[in-house]
Amino acid sequence: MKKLGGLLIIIISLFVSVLLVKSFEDKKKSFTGEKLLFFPSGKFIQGVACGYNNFLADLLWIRGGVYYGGQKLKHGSLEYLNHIFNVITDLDPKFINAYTTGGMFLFDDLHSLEMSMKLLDKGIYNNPTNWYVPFMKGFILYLAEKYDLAYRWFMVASLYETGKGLAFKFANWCLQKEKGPEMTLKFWENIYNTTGNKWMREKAVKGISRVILYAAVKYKRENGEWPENIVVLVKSGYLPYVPSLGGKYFLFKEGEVLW
Amino acid sequence: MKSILGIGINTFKEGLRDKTLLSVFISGFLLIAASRILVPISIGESYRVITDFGLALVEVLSVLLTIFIGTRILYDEIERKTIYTVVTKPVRVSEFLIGKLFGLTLLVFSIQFLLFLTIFLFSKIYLHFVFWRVFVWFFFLFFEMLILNGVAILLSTFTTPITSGLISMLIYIIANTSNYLKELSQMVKLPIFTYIANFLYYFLPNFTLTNVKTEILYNLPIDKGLYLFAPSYSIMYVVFLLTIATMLFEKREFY
Amino acid sequence: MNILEVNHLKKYYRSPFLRRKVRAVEDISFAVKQGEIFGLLGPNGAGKTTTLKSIVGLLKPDGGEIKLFGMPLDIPQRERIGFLPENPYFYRHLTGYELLNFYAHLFKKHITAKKIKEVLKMVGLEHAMHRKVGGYSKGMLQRVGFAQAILNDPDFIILDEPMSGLDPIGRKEMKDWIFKLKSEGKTILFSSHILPDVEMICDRVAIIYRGRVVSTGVLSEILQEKVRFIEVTIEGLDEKTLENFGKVIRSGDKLMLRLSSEEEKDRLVSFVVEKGGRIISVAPYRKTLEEHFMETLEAQ
Repeated sequence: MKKLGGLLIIIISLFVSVLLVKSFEDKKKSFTGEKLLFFPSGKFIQGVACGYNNFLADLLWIRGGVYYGGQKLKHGSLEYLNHIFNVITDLDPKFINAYTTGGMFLFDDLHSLEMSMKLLDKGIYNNPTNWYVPFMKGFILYLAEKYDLAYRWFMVASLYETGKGLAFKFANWCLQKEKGPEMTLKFWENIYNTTGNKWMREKAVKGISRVILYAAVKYKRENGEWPENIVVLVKSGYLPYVPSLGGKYFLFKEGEVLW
Repeated sequence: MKSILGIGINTFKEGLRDKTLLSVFISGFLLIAASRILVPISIGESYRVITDFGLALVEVLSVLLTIFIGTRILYDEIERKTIYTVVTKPVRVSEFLIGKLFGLTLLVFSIQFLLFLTIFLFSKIYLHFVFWRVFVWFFFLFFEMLILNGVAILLSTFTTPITSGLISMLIYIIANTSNYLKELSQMVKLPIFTYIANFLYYFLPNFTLTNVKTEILYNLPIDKGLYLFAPSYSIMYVVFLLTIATMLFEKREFY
Repeated sequence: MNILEVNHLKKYYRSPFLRRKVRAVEDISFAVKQGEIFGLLGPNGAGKTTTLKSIVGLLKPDGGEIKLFGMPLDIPQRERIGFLPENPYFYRHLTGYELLNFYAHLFKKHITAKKIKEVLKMVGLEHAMHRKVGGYSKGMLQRVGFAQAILNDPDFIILDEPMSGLDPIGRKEMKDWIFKLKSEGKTILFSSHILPDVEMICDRVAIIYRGRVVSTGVLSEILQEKVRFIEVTIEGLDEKTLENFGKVIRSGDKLMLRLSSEEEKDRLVSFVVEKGGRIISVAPYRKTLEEHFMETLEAQ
């Protein structure tokens, strides 16, 4: 190959390659969107992941599950949970379950609404077309008894076609929270009946149990003794009806609610 | 054209007899089959974990194959002196190298295709899911590996298999991380670092733009332009690599 | 017409550690005429293989000029040449047929399957054409090497130590093939350090020593001019009658004299006839190529 001809081919082919990269780099948007915030943990790993971000996120997900389970068993501290979920979602910003599960665990186990909200906000930012993350945010805010905020986030979730009806219903119930135990019972029954999420179902059972207990405490305060059973509470107007979930009924016995 | 085909098919046949190829395929097949064990520990994410694992595995094995075989492809010919009776025929150096690239690409393509077929098969068995989109990833991976094959061949024109293997691996890593280096350089604001980061991003192979694993995994739309970008960029870059390789190899003497 | 012209060829190797030049070919010039068999002779390390490799393009000369078919070396010329390297190496995983088929793809002209089989038959590998080359013996490898060198029906064939490692039958066959090629009008250049083979085959030779050509010429002329002596066998006369011509050796009833020149021989023959004796035989003893070769090297 003649030297000049060869050099010409090298220059032209490299030039065209660079042009192609330049013309396409804007189309492929970075999912982090915002200006690069250098978090040594998440961003660093993201940088060295060499394109295997999703896979590393999966490994960390499995590892995180092992960590969570292990710590729960020995009643250990879960101080790294926030870090783990943040790294997972840095590696894979589309990992919805990581945001929602993380949000749940951070609120429930670490009792940190702030961390939970921060993680879920990240999920909403990175997945602007997903309804479930704002829905989960609303749900956690409801658990935290911040009904105003919960209502707003349920309304946001209701704007999406998927889950529209459900989110709107929940928004409605938040609004009517003050109207008494009937709305609350219906809220929790619907949570239980519409989700397969085990944690949320547990919350539903606890939520209904709490309503029954409150009604029983109120009965005791006003009548001087515990009610014999839930039917008594219903007949005396402290509860609107006898609640049931998943085909099972609740029992009240000596200050304790069983399901 | 005839000589390119002849050299390519001969390279392919020679590679088929290499035990490395068989080992890579068997390892890949067994690992994909064994990914079933990830289901219970995936905590409800078995679909993405098995798919991710499979895709990552095929990519890693393709890279290893390119490095193990691609970096030896010229070296062995020269060491065994089988090249003497080839370069003394009316074959241009460029034809010889293109033929070698063709053969190597055919080898890697065969293994990739078989492994992708394996993922497809096991996703049906384990996840009861027909994962057609895996072939979209195959399309992009093929063009990425074409560039890496070109790198391996270029390096093997002037250096030993170990050195060219290490450099190929390094280039692969840079190709997948150059966008982060570029973003980092914007934050660090050090001119020399910016120049280096930009050089790596634009002038070395760039696989960050064709990394569509996330889109495949979440069934997100892929920019149609990318289907044109991938082959165009790949072919142009391979022309660049092979031209350098030709100019270097033409100067080569066979004592 | 000269098929090949080599003028003042130079080739140096660079020692990787000391970075100094090691001379392989200092100054080699020779030409190969169309239709002849030309031999390159020399001891090991003389520069024969370096010269041949420079001609076929495996090495790049550091000086001088090589012309093939009247033109500077170029790739298209290789359509018309065939090359057999010393101790050839082939793809072990291919059968003999597949190997030649592979080489056939490297030429622009179409080489048919029939032609491949003909060539394999010619070199005596018809029975082994479907066996893997990795299982071939040394002789079979040389045969298949020769086959790939003539596959494209070249005008000019270059053979580097073609007889190397062959048994006597193999060497005879190789010589026969070379003569056959010559009879078809081909030109052959080959290198060897086995002088009796060269003596039998070559039309012209060049003797190379330490990277230089020390002697070139038509073989018969080189050896003709080196007649050592002429032995004349006579009957019917006695030693005393012939003592003027030199030392007489009796062998039975015959007498033998060794004369140093044609003129002396003519005088003796006339004398014997005059004296009534009988000339039984007149045999000129030429220097062998080996003797010429050793003398030339010693003179260097």
